[in-house]
Amino acid sequence: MAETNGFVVAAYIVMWVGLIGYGVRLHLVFREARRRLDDASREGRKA
Amino acid sequence: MSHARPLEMERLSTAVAKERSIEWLGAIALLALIGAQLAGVLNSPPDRDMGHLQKIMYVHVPSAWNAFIAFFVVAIASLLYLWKGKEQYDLVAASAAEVGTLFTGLTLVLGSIWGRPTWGVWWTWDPRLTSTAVLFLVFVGYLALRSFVEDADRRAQWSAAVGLLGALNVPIVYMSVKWWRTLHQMQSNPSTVDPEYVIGLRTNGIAVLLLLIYFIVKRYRAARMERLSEHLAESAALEGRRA
Repeated sequence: MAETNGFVVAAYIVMWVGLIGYGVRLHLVFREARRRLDDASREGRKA
Repeated sequence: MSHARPLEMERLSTAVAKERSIEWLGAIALLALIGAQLAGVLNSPPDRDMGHLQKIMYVHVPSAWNAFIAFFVVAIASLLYLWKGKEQYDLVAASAAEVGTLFTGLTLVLGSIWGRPTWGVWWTWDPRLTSTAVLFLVFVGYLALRSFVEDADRRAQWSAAVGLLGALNVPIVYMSVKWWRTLHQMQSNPSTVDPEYVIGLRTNGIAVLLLLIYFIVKRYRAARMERLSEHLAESAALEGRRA
């Protein structure tokens, strides 16, 4: 029983690591996209 | 490119910058998922055959359902792109494909964790598992294709074709447990799941759906900003050459 409980805990850990990992990656991608857009808009205004 | 285009893009980029945040949706989805998982784990009794392993169902099945929903969005957006040719549909398809691939990957790993104590193996070439692995690999290929092709129009057209073909695999994955002899149990729905587990399954499915929507919308917004900045840079370069 203890062994099967370990599989349940492992499954929930994998789920949360996957979701949080993707959430953090998405946050970084979003922030970088916004920074690049701000830079491009500034350059555009200068031009 | 017409002369009015840079101004139009400037306005669009200002509008994008002022867009309302959707972090509230992410927070609601997260709280809903924590609540649904706690309720599922604490309230559902152990299964007669599987014992507490049944609780893996609350993460494995919602991941699979939501991967299917994401690929349905890919199919619709890809069709709309091929029909109307608007870039926004390509970006929606790409965003949904990325999130769908994440959930398919999770489905495979969680299924494997379930399979080891239930079937005695981490992996077997069962029709359900194999068709899901094919679905995963097709969309990994889709994402690789998008990163390799530089020309935006060509990338969108090829992606739409691969996205449609990949999404056609979803009904095959879903029906595989009926069409072929398989180790995997029948599709999880109220008629095949014990009533004691149905509510937990549904609430977890809805919580993951909220998270899926949040991820797709946020990825779409990021993709749109990426494309806008590329357009602005191209326009600035063209204007500079004219001057």
